[in-house]
Amino acid sequence: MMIKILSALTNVVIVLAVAPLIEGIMRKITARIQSRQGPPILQPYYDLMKLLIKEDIESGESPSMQRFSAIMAFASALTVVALLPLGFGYGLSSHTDIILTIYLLTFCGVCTLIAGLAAGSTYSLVGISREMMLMIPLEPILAVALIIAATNSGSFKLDAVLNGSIYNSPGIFPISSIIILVIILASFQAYAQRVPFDISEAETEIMDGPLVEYSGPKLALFKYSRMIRLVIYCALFIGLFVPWGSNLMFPFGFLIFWFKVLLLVLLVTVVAATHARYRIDQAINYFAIMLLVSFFALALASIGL
Amino acid sequence: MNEGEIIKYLRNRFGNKIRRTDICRDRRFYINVDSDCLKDVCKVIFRDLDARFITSIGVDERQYNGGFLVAHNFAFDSWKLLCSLQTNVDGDSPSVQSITDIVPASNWAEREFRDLLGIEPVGHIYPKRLVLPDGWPDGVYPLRKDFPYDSVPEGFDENRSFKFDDAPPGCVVVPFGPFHPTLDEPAHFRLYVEGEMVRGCEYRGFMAHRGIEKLGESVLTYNEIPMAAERICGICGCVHNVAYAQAVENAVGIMPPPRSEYIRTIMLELERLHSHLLWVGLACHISGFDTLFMHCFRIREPVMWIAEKISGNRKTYALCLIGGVRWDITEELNQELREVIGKLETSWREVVKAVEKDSNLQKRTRGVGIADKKLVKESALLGPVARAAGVPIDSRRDHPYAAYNRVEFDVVVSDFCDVWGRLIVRMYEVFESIKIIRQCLQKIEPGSIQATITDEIPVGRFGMSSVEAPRGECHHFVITGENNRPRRWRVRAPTYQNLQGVPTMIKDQQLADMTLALASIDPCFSCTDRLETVDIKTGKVRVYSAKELETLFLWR
Amino acid sequence: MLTPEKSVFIAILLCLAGAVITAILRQRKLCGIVAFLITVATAIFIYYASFDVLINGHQKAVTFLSNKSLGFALRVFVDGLSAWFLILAATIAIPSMFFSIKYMEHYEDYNVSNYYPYILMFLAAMYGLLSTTDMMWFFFIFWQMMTISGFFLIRFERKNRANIKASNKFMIMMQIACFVTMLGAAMISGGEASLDNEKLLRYDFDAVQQHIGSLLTEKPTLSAMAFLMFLIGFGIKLGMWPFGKIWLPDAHPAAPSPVSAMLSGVMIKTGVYGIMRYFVWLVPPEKWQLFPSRYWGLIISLLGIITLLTGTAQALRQEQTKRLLAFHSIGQIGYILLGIGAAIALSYYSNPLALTLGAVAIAGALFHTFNHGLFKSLLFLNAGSILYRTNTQDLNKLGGLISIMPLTAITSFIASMSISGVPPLNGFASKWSIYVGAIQGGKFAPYLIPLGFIAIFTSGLTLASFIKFFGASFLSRKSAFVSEKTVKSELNWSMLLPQFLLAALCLFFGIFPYFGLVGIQSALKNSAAGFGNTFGGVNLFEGGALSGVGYNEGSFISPLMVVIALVLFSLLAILIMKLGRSEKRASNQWLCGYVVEDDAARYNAHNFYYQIKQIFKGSRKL
Repeated sequence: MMIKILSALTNVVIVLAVAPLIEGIMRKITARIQSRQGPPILQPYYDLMKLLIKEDIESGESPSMQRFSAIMAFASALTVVALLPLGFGYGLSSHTDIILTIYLLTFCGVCTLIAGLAAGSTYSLVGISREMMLMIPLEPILAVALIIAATNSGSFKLDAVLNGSIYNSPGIFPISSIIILVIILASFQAYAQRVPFDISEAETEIMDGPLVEYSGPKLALFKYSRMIRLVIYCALFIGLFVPWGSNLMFPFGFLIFWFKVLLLVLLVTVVAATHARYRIDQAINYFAIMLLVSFFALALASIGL
Repeated sequence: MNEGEIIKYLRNRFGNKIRRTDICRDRRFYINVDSDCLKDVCKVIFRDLDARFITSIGVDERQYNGGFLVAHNFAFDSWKLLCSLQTNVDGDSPSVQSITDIVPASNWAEREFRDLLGIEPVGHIYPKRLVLPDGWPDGVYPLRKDFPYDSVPEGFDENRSFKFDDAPPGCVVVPFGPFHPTLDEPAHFRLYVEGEMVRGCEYRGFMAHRGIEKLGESVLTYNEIPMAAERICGICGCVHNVAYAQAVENAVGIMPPPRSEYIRTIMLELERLHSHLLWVGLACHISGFDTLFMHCFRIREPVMWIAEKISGNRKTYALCLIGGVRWDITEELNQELREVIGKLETSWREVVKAVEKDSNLQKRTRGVGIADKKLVKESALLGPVARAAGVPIDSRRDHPYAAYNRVEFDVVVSDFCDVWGRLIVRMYEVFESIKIIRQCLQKIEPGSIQATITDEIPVGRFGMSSVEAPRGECHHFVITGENNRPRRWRVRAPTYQNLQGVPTMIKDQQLADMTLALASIDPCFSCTDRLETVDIKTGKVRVYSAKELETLFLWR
Repeated sequence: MLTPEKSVFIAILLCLAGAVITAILRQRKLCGIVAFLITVATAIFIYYASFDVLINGHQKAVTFLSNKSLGFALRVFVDGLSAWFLILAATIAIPSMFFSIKYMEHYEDYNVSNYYPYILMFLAAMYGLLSTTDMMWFFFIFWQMMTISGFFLIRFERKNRANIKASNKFMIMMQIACFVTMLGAAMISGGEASLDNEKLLRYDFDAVQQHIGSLLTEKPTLSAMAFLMFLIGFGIKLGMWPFGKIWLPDAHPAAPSPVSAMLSGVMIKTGVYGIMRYFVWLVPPEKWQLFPSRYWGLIISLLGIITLLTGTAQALRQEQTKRLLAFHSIGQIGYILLGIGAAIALSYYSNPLALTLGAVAIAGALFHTFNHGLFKSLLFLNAGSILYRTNTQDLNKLGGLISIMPLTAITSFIASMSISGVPPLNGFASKWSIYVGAIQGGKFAPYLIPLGFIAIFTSGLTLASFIKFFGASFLSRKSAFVSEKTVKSELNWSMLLPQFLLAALCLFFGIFPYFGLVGIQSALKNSAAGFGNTFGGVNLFEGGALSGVGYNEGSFISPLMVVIALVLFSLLAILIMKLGRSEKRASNQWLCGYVVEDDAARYNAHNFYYQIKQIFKGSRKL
């Protein structure tokens, strides 16, 4: 148990160290796609440090709630990290179940919502209304993937779910798993909160939405937790759909895992750079269809296909 | 019909109420009517003869004849005519029949002369302050001749705030601007939003006034004004520069030499090129497609360099003087320009191909910001907005100036009526511009670039000039005057009309589409705002003193 | 020796005596204090009885009044199931009554002698209903006591015509429910019987139980009809689709807030009790295979999901605090029905895993019943506090209340997050078990997987709705209405204390669901001899309900560990925040630099979730 806790903590430290680097890589790739020089790859670290010393403006009517939401956004993201398999051992995932993971992820999102509400600006409220509307279909879609894997493996434990068991359906061919893989890929930009689904932050309309009133250390925490959430969703995707190789002996499994994260991030970046942002109604309709299809996939899975 | 037939038609209907008519060269004519039949004449011109409303102008002529002059300018695009319908107004309690119920497009123009000259448009549909800043006292009219150009009126109250209309029930107000990432210039939209749907809006603009018209009428000279006019706008500056020079030339009948006309055409088209490239980029940025935004700017950059090579500046070319231009295009520049537009054409073809295939971008722009033929007519919308609604108006063809009658080009029209249509129109106009520049470079004649002007410019002549800016027709109206400067100089930028169509275009659209619909007219607030004696730095209200204002115009 | 049955009977009598006393007393505050003290006294008896049953096992039923010729007997029996619901009733009643003392002061125009006597009678009726075994006469008496007192409590503010209408609707629906349930009882009763040398009357629960086996074999249609009657009767009570919408959303907001808390927290739970008792405990285990549990499981869980979805979807549209909460009561009942339905459906399969999962599901349902009582009554008390301070239920007019009543805001935040199922709070703990029961149960009854998934989806809607509720009232910006009409002061301690008590319980059962599940397990184990009793044989912890991890896998991350991790990482976050030593500065909101803040620019509750509301537009008709 002690070892598991230690490896979970190691994962937390690694993610804390690597998450801004991934952001830096994304920015660099984006810049190259846009035929720009781009910032140095370490820029996100500088950004975070810069934000920490910047003035902390409190413009809402409940500054304590604003602070609370920033802290919880960071803490809840790290809590999920501690529970996930992230290359460096399985962490505490054999002691976690999928429902808890889904709801902890929801809690991460809730923190941003609370942040926007506490700021109380018109733009931040438009933003949280959009973010909430996106969360309503997104969390269940992820839940479907996890549930299909869980029914196949017969256990809700996270390590039993995140090991490729999604393909182990009793039927001849895992149709439902393939459907849900396509769906999750098609909505991954939304989990990563990138274009075309960064609607809740839409800079050109509502000026970063929920976070419009945030600055300084609080903004640093939100940005940091957003970077961490990207790693989380990458890890969930990898664990669910391409777990192979991640649990090899120490340096190999570890390297393979982060290599896969990098590939996924590359995909996210390219898609983000080649798309325009959808409107909220278009996005909602899109995800409503995704949700219906994933429901269909679940129905297939429940009869063993 | 030609101008004679129109006047005959009007005389038949109104008889002696038509006081005086002037037919000039260059297919322009002026009609002076009794003030009590102004509205009826407008109705005949606008509805029966299907003219396009250009703008309304108020002139303070009290020191000459004790009254004011009000002019409504119209264009008969299919007959290639420009017309100015004028009436004299009493000087003591100036009021004039409002034509807004017949010509909705005149809404702003009438409010403008109400604000600035105190001529009351009787029966106006929405008589609310438009141009003057919030703190400006009532009853002080800055554009009257007895108001000094460098004074701040007594009773100016910084803390007075504007009284907006009430929001419709169930709607929340989303303030949009003056400082907003999508707006490059200050303007305030008070959006009435229900959930995500925009149910209406109120506009409060004119925040970047620099008093250029007043300056032109009171301080600058004929040949200084082109440089000031250019500073009206950061993108289509050359358009104002040329339009002003042409208006004066038109008033007094100066013929600029042909070579200078070719150079004007080339520079105007270069300006259209970089403006359209910029706009396509911005539209992509607003819809979140930053990659294309960056590429548009990359493609645009050589245009800026060649402009710098020709004029010494990336922008504000300081091109025209009355009767000619200041920069010549040498053989070497001619060659280089050909290369630049050649490269531009190939890379732009790729962008157009990419955009046309992009279903994602189409989803965001199709059906957004609808401006149909009816709205184009009622609000007198211009340029790509009108052409994307299938209304083929283009001043370059309809009211040819410079060398446009000597080159061949197509007017790009689309029937989508939405942002996508405007995107298509602008993208293909880039190719037309390239075509025009190529022909000019080929046909350019050797010779002088500046007409010799020996006589003094006569007083009291009218001049009109319409130049097709990238955003639509830019109209300048000049009355020549004493002291080597015009008596009245009126600028109507395309955004002035197009912005009036925006509330209709964004009604019942998603909030996210609002920015795109607004951007689709390519709004240029500094063009629209152009004239005021005080500047308000928004946020904290601060009035520029006249001294500071003067130091802004460094060439003095 | 004071048996549990006797002490419940004493509690009922105490309540009735209290009702008489408070009817006589004139003074407003004194009335409240007396009513509160009586409630506490009854609660002591109830707790004594319930914990005695949970710890030492149930004893025998006791008959207090009997008239054989009329088939009339007040036979009281407290088993584990009753005990669990009785604890809930007492736990909600205490804070509600304490809250009433101060809260009722703002009804200056109304006489409290129309309030306290009825609410005590209401409480007595619920105690009675949860412990009597008479399915006919005393069921009728207690039901009518509850209905009539509820009727008067709902129309307490009788100057408002809407309230009168709401109470009339309540009355009519409850009478229909009463009639239908009694009809069901009449259909199912098989004659007199005897148990342990005691003569049982024909409508006694135990008597019916003895005859049910033969009835199920001989008259399957009639018995099915009877069960359908029970489902409809109790369904009306607990707000099941399609009946819930008719009366519940009108009745709950009409009543004074502490009564709303009792209505939603306890009263509709008597319906849950009824369904559990009649569907799971009526048929003895040895006759269980005669009971068409497959179909009833399907019907109940389907109805549960429809109730859940329609209730929550409609709640999303609401802009009145208490009406929003009332629709969520319907929605949350859906979860409970899903749990019951899944348990019944799984009980059909004679497989130890199915039995375990069934136990997990029904434990989830029981736990959610309890938790819903806690957070929903807390939310109604919150809504009452807002009403007390600002005099409005309209979310569009509210905003920024956190700076006026920060402590209420904290409790309301906990309750809102609880009902949305955010870990580590009690709402999550109980939904967890229901999800596990339903989704893992899909192995046996495949349709349960999609149903469980819809439940997960709906919890997103619930979250959205409560983000709106909490955000629009406490966070956001102060409206002109609030800043003009509201005194800047927190509530009186006597109104805060009950809310804090409930919030603390929400947190406690969220972090330590173990204690809730221990209670439920012993409730199941010590319940009367029905099929439900066999669920008590499953070890809920090692079997996996708490871990949710599956069958026979014990170790788990408990919510406690999540809390520890959250706290640790929060400390890290605070450390990071402090690193740069940045200065704090208060400032105004950014409104694009021209206009100043005004009321028109507040994004109010009406505007939230426009797109989703468009999608669920049709739900109004359901």
